Amino acid sequence: MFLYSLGDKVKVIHNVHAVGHVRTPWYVQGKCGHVAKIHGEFANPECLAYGTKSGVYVNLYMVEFKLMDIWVNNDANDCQDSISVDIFEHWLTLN
Amino acid sequence: MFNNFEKHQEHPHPKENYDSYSLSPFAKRVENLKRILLRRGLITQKELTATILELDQRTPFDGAKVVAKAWTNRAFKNRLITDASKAVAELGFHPPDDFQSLVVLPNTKTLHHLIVCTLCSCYPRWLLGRPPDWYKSLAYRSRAVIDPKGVMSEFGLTLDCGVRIKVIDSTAEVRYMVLPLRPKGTDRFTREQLASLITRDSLIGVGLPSKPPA
Repeated sequence: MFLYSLGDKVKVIHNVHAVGHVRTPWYVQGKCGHVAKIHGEFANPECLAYGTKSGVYVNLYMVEFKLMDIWVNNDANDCQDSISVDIFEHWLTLN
Repeated sequence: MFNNFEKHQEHPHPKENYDSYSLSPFAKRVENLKRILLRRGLITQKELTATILELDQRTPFDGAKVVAKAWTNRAFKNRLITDASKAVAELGFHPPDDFQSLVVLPNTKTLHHLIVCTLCSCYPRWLLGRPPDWYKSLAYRSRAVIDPKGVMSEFGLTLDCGVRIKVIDSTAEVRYMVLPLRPKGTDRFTREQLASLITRDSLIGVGLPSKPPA
């Protein structure tokens, strides 16, 4: 059961002080993109890092952002260039 | 710090004089971690050596074989784009565990992919072998997502005007490989000849396949 579908506009939760093993890079936190691919269900690395192997599966999405939305002050990036980051469902909200 | 002869489970080897060259703080940490894991029996030297040897069986040429097949077999190319893990398994390449999967990103005349792992150095090692040192550097990992054009130009790659760049940051368990465009003038090439044109850098996105000899 996936919360988000292809094309959905999503926002990455902003929590740069999150404790523990985090796979959501700070540079996309708080930024808006769209779901470019639904990777499926994966064991949550945030739990695996602490040795928890069973039962903790989360949905993973490839979220695409415009480069100029991420680096707002950088004029060097073309408006068409993008960056895609793999983000777990619990780090996303609908935009 | 080290005994004169460190006897591993298979063979002794001479003292490695770590004082004669300086290890970076990270390398020292890795060495210490390795010694602790070995001393506590959590891993064995035999397992470590076997894993390293297995990893070193893979080279970028394995990725090149996959790409060459995709260039010459449309059905395989479609399978590769739809489910790369399954497609490369047809050629005998399997990830080391159930967690990792592969996604292959096809370049087009208007789209070019660049792969990075900003968090560490995630790379499809089970297909391409070890990543190059620059891939693991802070410089590449930080700059590829900020200024992909600038980074590519430092590798000697300038894309045509109008080509969109898509940077991919492999932050989770999916591993990525670029499916570069087939060079012109290779219609009569065999799969082996095609594979020889495909460079490691073209599979990451900082380069293009070699041009066929004139």
